[in-house]
Amino acid sequence: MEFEDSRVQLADVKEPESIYKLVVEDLCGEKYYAPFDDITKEQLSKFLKRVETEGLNYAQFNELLLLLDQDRVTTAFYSYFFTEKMSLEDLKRRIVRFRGFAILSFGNFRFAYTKLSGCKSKDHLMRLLQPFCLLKEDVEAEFASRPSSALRIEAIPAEKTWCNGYIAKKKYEREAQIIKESLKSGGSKELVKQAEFYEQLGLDIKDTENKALRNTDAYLTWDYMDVYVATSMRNSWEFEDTGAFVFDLFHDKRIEPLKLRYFDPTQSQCANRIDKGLVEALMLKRARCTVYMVQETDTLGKDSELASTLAQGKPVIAYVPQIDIEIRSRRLLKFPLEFFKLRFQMLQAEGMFDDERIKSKLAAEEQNYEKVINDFLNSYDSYRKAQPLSLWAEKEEEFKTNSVSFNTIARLLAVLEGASFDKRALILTETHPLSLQVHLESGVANGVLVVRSKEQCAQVLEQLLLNELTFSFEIVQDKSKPSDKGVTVLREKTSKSPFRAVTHYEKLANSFWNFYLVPGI
Amino acid sequence: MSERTYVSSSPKSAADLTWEEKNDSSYLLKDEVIRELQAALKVAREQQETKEPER
Repeated sequence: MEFEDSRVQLADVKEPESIYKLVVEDLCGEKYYAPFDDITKEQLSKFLKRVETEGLNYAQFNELLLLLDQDRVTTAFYSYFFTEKMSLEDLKRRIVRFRGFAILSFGNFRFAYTKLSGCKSKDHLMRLLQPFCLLKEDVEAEFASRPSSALRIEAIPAEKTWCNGYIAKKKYEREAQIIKESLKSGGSKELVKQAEFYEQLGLDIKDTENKALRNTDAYLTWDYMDVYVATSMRNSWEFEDTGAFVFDLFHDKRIEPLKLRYFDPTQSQCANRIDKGLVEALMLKRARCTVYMVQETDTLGKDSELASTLAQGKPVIAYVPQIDIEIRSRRLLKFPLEFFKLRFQMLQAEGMFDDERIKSKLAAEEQNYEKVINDFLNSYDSYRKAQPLSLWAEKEEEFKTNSVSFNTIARLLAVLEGASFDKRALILTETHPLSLQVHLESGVANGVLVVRSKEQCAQVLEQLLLNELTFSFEIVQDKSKPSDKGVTVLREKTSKSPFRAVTHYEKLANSFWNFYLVPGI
Repeated sequence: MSERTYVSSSPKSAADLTWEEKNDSSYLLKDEVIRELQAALKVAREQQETKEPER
């Protein structure tokens, strides 16, 4: 872990008052303390002159603390965070490091100092700082030494995962019923061909379902679990997107060597909703972290999985796709027609067609975009009246081929999706209060790490598991509002997301820690 | 998007699922659906086979 704090780094160590504040406020976390008077200034000046030439050691460090009316520290604490013959510049860097660990593990500087400075042994101190204190080499060695699972997952290919979706099954049941009824009044060659397609599809769904049921048993036997993938899977396209993303992420060159075990919900199934809920709750409890996929919709299930992870004090990486219009529009051409109708309606409900910047992007693709979209939706409605079977892909392809505007429609939808995902990323990083939630045991405010590409997701996941993330401290405050006392935020560098926060609103902080740090409450 | 009133112009097809059907709590495909389709298909094939020699 690396920590940066430009405010502390800019402190002038030759200035006694800077050192005073650095030690009393930044290290010891004091908010109410004696004013910096002339006597302290004189004594501290003498002390600093001596340290400037000789460096600071453990004994002198404790003398400095007593000089500034603060509690002494143990050797275990000193040797973990500081060094012998430490320069004052080095002191600043090491105080930043202490603050980093303090906010990560305790969400509070004063309590962290009180707790950690009294640790009699390194082991005790390390226990309090787990898992953040573990060295990359040790974590890598631990991962490398883990055996393969006794029961393997029977891979369900991404293009078949949708067969596992309960809405797909309901659709299948309905459409198979329509065909069965039609066959009663005599089977034309076309109808028999359709029926044969549905027969095979039914067998494929059953086969997928049986694999997924066996996979659930395998997941339940696994000795450890590293990552939970939180995703909505109601429609076929959600299954395919999830399957493709999960495959790419865990086959990334940075992730594959870690031999991670992950719960992929596209590969698992249960006989009923109660079992499914319990299996997912257990996987969430066991996993080290969650990767949350931001998709077309944020559902109760997926959002609960995010909240449950944060409330357990574990990290959540939220993947919000950054849309490349060329790539996305080409992919959209393969999506079912129903997707286009639903997406345009959802994006209109989100107000995307009212945003002037988005309107100009749409107009750049197609001047008459409103007419083109409306004509497409009208022709789709007529098609659906004539062709009720949504799983009969042959007719869908015919419709797409005959539609003169289908390529433009895909591009327009990609533009809208891109703008929608950008807004969702902003909500998670900057706007929504619940993008930070509290670890119920420790009271630490735990923030979502927002990534915009698969590569970024792999990078943050690797750095997170190996304790290699880089953070910077910043104070967020709207000074034009006197009631805004500000917040100290620990921001992760790659995702630019707030990962931890400490409020400067004293009434809130005092009430908060009174309830969180009292045993039995 | 002013030319269209979505609420009134969303025709339902015979295959569209209702809200209740989409939110049904059963997770697994009913075996009898495939069995019944296979049975109907068998009859249709037999009918076709008897029709074809007549031609």
